[in-house]
Amino acid sequence: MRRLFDEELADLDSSFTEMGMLVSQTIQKAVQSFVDHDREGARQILENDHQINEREAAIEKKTFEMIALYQPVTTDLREIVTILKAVSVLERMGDQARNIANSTIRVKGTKHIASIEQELGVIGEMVANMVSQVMEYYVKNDALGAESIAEANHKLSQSAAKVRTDSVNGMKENADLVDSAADYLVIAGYLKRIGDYTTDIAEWIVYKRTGKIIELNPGYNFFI
Amino acid sequence: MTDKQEKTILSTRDVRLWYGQKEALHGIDLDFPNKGITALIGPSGSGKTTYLRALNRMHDLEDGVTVTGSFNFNGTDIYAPTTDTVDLRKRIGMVFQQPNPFPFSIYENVIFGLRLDGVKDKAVLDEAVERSLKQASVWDEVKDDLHKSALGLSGGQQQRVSIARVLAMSPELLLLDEPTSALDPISSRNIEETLLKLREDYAMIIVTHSMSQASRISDRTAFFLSGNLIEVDQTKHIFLNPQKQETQDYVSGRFG
Repeated sequence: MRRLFDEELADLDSSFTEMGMLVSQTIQKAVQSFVDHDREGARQILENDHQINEREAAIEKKTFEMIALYQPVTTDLREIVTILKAVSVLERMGDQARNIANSTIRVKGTKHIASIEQELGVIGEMVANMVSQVMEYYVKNDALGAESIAEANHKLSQSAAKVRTDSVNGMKENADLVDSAADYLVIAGYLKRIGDYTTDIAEWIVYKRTGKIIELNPGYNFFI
Repeated sequence: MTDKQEKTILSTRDVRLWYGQKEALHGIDLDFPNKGITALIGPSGSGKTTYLRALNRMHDLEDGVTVTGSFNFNGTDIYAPTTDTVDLRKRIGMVFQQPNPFPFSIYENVIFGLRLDGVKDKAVLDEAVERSLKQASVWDEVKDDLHKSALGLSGGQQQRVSIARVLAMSPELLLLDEPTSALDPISSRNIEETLLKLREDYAMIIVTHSMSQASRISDRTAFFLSGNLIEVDQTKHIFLNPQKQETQDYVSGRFG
């Protein structure tokens, strides 16, 4: 029975990490579509969002079954709880990618600020990397690595805050930029939120490894 | 766990059993697939063991027991007057709560049924011993001591030798009546591992008082209460989302 449980846990683990990779790619594509003003790309993100939701539901169902059938304890229980909690976070990240795609489709501004769009592209890359990084820490059971995500998230917050300042300044200088700059503000907010979510997953990785519940997103990371 | 529907090996309908005037089973309808483990759970006196023993006519040996209902086992009517119980019990083997090795060698224990059948060819017997003991996951532990007494083995090993003795007859269905309740946790786990391996090839019905055992190893679970079958379903449904309140109360430990 141990063998059977281990096999099922290994399957659960790979479904979870696969979903993490899918979410990371989706975020990257969403930001790229926004920067490229690529509505078709954004539509694909919306069409594929159900895949992320279905994976979340399947993984949750499996964790319920494993808890009910095997009554896991200690590290097994922590691993299953970590997946159960973190999978909802991944799904919420997917929703943020969907929000970015929606903004891309609805965008009204005809005048853009190239430097800010470039900056958003960089932040999008940064946050997608944080997501794949945190999944790697999960796979390697690396609690120290997971804690280091807090530092990356702090940098991300600063970049997002810079986008905010630049957008507001752009609006002040030229009223024609208000439509686009308002979008930049919103997108930066979505990306900042995804960054915060990676710290949520990192907290659960620390819990899985050590059994301790910690806080990796202290109050100084604010956006507005 | 196997979700796909397998062929039915045993189909029972309206099974009733009386101890004298007292009806102990009140009309059980239950089918079993030809692969995998079905667990029968329920509190003491719920009828699960009584039902299990009816499946290979163990009650024939008791006075005053009446069994009615239909028992279709791969086309054989279990209770037909023409059905030979010795032959039936080769096809439906039983493993009991207490390991019950006979007081002779491990080798002779395993081939006991084959000897009764008149098999004398040593090559055939040797092959059966090795195959059965391997299937019962005890070969590596006893292969150098095959001619020593089975009584010298640990309880868990004795139980696996008892399983091998049943498997030597190449049964179509295995009945297990609380096969681990007399064993320590490690031996119980070994037996569970053995059953998990066997479930790829055999149909098994296990009566168990341990709900965690039922949830760990069985594909389907049937819940008995007061001589009635309350609910039968895939094990994960019984333990996550049973349809009947009584099942819910029992599996969550509220009674029994």
